[in-house]
Amino acid sequence: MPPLSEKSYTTERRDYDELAMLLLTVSFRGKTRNARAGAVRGQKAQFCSVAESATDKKRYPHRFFAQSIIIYRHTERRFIMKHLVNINKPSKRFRSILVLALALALVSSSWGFAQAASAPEKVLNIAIASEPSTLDPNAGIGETWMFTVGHLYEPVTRLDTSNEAVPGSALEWTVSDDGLTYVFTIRDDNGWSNGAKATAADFEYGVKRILQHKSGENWASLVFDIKNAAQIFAGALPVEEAGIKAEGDKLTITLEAPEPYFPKLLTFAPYFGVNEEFVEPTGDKYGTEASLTLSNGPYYVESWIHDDKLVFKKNPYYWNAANINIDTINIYIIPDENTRINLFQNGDIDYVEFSGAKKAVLESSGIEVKSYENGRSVYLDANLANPVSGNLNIRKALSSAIDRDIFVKGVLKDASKPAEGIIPFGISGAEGKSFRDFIGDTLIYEYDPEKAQEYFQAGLDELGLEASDITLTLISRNSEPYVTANAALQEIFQETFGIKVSAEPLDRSSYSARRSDYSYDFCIVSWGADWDDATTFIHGFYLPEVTESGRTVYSSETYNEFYRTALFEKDPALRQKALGDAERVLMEDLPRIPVWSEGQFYAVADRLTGVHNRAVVPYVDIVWADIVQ
Amino acid sequence: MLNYVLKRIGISLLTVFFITTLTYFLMYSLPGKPFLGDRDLPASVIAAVNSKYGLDLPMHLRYLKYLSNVIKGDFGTSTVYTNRDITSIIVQAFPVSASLGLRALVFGVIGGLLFGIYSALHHNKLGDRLSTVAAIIGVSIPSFILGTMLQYLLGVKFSGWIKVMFNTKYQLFPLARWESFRYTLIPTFVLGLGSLASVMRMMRSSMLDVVNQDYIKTAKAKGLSSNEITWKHMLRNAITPVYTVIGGMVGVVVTGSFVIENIFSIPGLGKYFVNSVTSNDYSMTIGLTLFFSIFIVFVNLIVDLGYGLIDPRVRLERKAR
Repeated sequence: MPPLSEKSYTTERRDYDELAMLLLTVSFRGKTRNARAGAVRGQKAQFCSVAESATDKKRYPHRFFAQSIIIYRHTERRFIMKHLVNINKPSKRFRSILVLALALALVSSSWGFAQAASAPEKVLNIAIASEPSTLDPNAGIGETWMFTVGHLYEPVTRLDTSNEAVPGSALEWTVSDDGLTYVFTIRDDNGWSNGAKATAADFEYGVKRILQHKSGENWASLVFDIKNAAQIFAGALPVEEAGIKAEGDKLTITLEAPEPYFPKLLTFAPYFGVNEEFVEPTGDKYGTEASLTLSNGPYYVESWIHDDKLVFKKNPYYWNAANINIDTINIYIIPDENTRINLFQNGDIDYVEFSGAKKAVLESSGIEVKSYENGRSVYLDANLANPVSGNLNIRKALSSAIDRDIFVKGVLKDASKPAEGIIPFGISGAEGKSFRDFIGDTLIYEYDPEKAQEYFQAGLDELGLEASDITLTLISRNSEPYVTANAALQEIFQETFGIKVSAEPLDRSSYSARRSDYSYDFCIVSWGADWDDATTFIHGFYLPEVTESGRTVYSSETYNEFYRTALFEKDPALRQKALGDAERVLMEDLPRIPVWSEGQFYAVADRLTGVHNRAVVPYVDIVWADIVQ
Repeated sequence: MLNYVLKRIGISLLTVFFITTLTYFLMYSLPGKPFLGDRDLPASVIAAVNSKYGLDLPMHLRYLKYLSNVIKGDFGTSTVYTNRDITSIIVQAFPVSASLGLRALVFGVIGGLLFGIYSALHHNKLGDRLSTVAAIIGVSIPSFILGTMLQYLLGVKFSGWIKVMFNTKYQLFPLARWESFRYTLIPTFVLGLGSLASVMRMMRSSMLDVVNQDYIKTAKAKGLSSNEITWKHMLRNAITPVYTVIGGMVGVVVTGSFVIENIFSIPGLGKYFVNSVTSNDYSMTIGLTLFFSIFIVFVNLIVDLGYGLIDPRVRLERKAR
């Protein structure tokens, strides 16, 4: 057994000293001084013989064990004794710890060797909260589905780190003067993970799957922007009439109405392409297993243990593979927030998101907590069919009663910000600024308790009611922070106006039932962006369709005018200004009372760089991430 | 014997049919629809989704169609896990739940029996008092508290200590997930502790009854060793009521625990079951209820048949006289 060099002795000394001291304290509690000394010799001999036999036989990795024995030998007897004298009461339990410690030492050293031998592969570990519903980009629901497919497929365009639509599968594109026809040139150097060539036809096939009811029926209304899509879906026109055509490397998409944000809409999963040859034989099982999924994006899925773990590997056929730094992404499905945080603190995962309540815990253990705007706007959706919530003065009063600064700081206590309009923070605007920075605060009925009372009185007069006659039903989801927010708003409205507010946090199924029956006065809605443009929040107010239920919908000529201007305006700045004007109309009429704009806390491991967070999916973008040691 | 078994299987099938029917109609009477959220979907989209999942048929036709599919072994597809068969989900997730459940059961039953016997033999001594108190704690501590606590203490603190001590990332008690034996340790303990405590209490009181019986005095008088008395005479007589308790546990423990699967990220069936109810995933809830009821009914049947082995005095059918 070669002796340790002086240098490694010094650097590793502390660990070995600790082990030596553990061995000593464990072995010698409760013995007389002489017995201790004897035992030291005895133990030492025993350890050495074990270590040496281990060396000779080379049966198991012994490095750590053997080295600790050397230190043990080197340790002065007087040094040992000095520490031993201070040891007090005996405890048998510590012997079992000794056995455990030795076993651990052996196992851990072997584990260490195995690690050192592997290739310098860059492996990222992350956790998601739930199983992706599928890996089929045209179907599926939920954030984890959007996250996974966002890394497995290459859309026509991709959002870069400044949230601009940049070429993805497309090399370049042109748009016709009327803004209705887009021609994308699809690159010929991209490939599917089985080696097949990725083509323009993949994108046509993807959208047509939805239109032909083969997949993703639930997303159909998002592709209705394409010419004739709605009629085809309803069976009124043949699928050949669809405004999406692939010829050679050209993908031509014709729209129903101009949509200046259309290239950004293409980053949304239902518009992704899939490989027809691969998908057809799988029937409706495409994307339900790793073996039934094919990727043309930065990564492909190597294995998928349902509800447990997905392993993503770098796709060698990806056109930009040379710039993808991470070789493997292990995606663990960890539903419990506490467990995710514990895993992060243990170094088992490299990225974690958490609620405001956990911020202090993480900060106290020295972890840097960051936040990003996740593009969710939270507002009170008014049921305009009910007399009280349908009264404009009452809505103005409610809006003026909420002190949004205090609400965010005192009630939510998370990374959210007080709302400055219906469009949240983080959504792109013009001139390199976000929409909110570009347009500014459009909220008209800000916190003003005196005005609130005036509006309220005016509303009561119009309705011919007393404050005590009014009971407002305020529904929300039964998850945080909406439950707390619901209770807080109930308190605010009751205190300010002396009315009765019935706060009802509901589970998912009751909530969706109440929403579709319109049986509420106000509903706390958290609306996320489908695409990175202000229109994603307000397009529903433009020329609203009268729904079958015949409920009163908001409709305003002034609004339609501004929105129409925005649709046909070519200059990005003027277009955003028009959208800002449209938003101001909404803020005057208050079909929705904005309360806050959501933010998300997160923490990143030191070794992980280049993670990009944004207000639209994928919220967490690790395409450009890298691992540094 | 054969008659008895056949009769029981017949009753079991009826029970399963009744449970399924009841769940079926209860589920569809829940408010809300799958896919409906805050998004206003056009009528054509809602119609397409409904026809895909057969939700456009009248209730009685839907039910008959479901029954005929079940007889063919098709439990339907999930609406949340797009296009995945309920059958394939059961095939993937049940073995995990069953593995965790059986481990917990083995731990709980063996530990419970040993502690119960020990307590009874040392009646009213310190050991008995301590284990009785421990059993009460074990029964009353909710598993989400115990689970979270052990996860933090062993998974975070202990592993951190090992890391500093030995400069290694090896974790004896991994925080979560389900990979190898060491991953099973904490979940098994947490899930099994309740069973352990109730088996222990049952065994203790049952043993105490037996200890004072005349035949034990006889055995002592014959000069049998105390080991022989304990294992052959006391245990055999005391175990029947405990067996009843254990039989009931099998069904509950093996079919998956939502709380523990959630805390430790174990890919078992419990999570699918609980989550499916609030997300209106009809075929998932109904399919899993059907599966669980078949499983539990037949476990009970096997448990009942086992009485004959445990206690020869039990006769499963009336002898023809």
